[in-house]
Amino acid sequence: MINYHKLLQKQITRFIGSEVPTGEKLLPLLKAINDSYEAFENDRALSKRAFALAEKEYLETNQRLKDEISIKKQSLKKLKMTINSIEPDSTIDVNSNEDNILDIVNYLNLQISRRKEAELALRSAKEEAEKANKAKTDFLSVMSHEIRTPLNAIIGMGHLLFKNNPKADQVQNLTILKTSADNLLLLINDILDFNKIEAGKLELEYAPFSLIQLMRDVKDGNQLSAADRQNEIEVCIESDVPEFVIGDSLRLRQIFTNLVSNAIKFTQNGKIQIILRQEQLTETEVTLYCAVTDTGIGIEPQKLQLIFDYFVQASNTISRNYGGTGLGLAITKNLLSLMNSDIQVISTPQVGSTFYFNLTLPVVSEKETETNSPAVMNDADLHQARILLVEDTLFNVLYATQLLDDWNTIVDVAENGVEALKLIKENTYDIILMDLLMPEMDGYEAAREIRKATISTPIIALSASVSINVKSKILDAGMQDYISKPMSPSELLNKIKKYI
Amino acid sequence: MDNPTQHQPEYLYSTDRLLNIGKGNMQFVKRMLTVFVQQMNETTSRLTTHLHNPDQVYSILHQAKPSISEICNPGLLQRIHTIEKLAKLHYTAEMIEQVQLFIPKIQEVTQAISQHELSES
Repeated sequence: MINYHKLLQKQITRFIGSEVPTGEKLLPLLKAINDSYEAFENDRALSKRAFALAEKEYLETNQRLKDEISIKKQSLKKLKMTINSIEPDSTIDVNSNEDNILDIVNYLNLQISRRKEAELALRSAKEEAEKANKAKTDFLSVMSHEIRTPLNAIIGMGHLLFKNNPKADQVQNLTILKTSADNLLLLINDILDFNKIEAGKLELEYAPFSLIQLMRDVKDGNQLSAADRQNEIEVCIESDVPEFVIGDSLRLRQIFTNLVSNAIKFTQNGKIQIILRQEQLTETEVTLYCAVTDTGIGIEPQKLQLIFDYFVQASNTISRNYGGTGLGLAITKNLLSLMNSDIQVISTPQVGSTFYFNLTLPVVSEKETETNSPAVMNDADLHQARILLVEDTLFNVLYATQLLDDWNTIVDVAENGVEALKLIKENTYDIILMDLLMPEMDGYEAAREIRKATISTPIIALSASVSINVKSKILDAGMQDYISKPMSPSELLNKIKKYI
Repeated sequence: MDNPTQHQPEYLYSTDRLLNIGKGNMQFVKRMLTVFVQQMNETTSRLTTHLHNPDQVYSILHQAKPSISEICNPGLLQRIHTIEKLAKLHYTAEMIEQVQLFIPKIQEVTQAISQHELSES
């Protein structure tokens, strides 16, 4: 018994009756109809489910679109408001509900073009400004140098006139001439320093010097101007401050001179103190507290930070009454900054000022003296190493050969580069010690010639000043190393041992 | 060796380093001091001749510096550093002033050496 589809069963009952249909041809027909009904029923169920799903998706999509439209509207409104706040005269209406997105895009395009044009103009202006600044720096530098030459002649002639027994009234005029010329020279020197600092061309030198001598020089150099204003200068160096340190003594002198001369300028009938105190001492370096104090007019609190700026003085009255350009303290601050220090000031109007800073400098140790002693050097044996000493100063030749002879070496001496080249071609050396400044052919050229001749003997330069520039020149010329003169025996021995 | 000035606080010169290098060889020390005095006489003479030429002054003192630092008071070496720097920067007037202070100092040293170390008596 076949279970027909419900609808088919109804139709069979209606048209054929309740008896079971038979017949070879009828049964397959009924089966095919039944299958169609079943298939239709399945399709209908599937469609129904599909419609239900589609409706849900439609509702979600619809909601998402609504949200997006809302966000877009808000964004457009904000964008319009922003545009209006940037450009109130713009044609874009904030309150309009019109979807004028194309206007906005056009507006933004216009703004981008304008921005690009502005950037180009700015870049071009910046380049122009840099060119102008460089031109200014070059001009100042050239002019300062050009002014110095005749100024030196003026100062020199002034000295000569002073020596020729001038009359009393001439003395006064000559004094004014001298003072003005000296001041002008100081100003030009300041401008040159200012230029160098601005251009990053100021290089510090490192050499041993006596702090006591330096302070004495600063005091002596300012003594006359201090006396002119009835001031007393006192140098207070605490006993534990090491006398010899390594640094740029000229620039330190400039720093202290700037501070002391400033103190004198703003003090009348008072006292200026230079103070050096040890803050910390290690085996290799010392940190010093350095200060210059005065009992002068002092500085208003609100002006304290300004005084270290270029061309700034505490007030216009000061430049009128006391002179100066406002470069000194700025240069001082920058010089100290190059020395990894920072100047500070405390001041009370009508009581006085203290300019102070901490400075860390390498100390000249006693170790060097010890290592130079014969006892340390006695055991050295360089086993008949052949050394060419290229040096034109007899004192240095005798000094070096005395050491080298003691260390069991065979030494030849050449007085200049030409002689050295000749000896090198005739002999084989283990090492060459090369002075740099010599007549006929200097050490750099000699080294280059030696390398050109494919001779690879190690060359150690001997130089009385080994600044950064000199060091790179030495290496560029094909030399391996350098020793600063006066030669430390231990350094000489160690360097030779390193290369043979 | 008679060396009355070397142990004072501000000595003019010292032969200590030369004695160390020469392992106490007095002949060596004397030879070095003789060369030093000759070199300094030449140095002062050349400095006077080229006083207004910063490049020459720099070169002359650069050459003299090692010998001076072996023998003289460090203060003198410091003065040389100052002059060298002034010469390098072409601060001619200040350089001349410093050279004029330097020359009598070094002459004082050479005179003292000649008198105390090199005289036959």
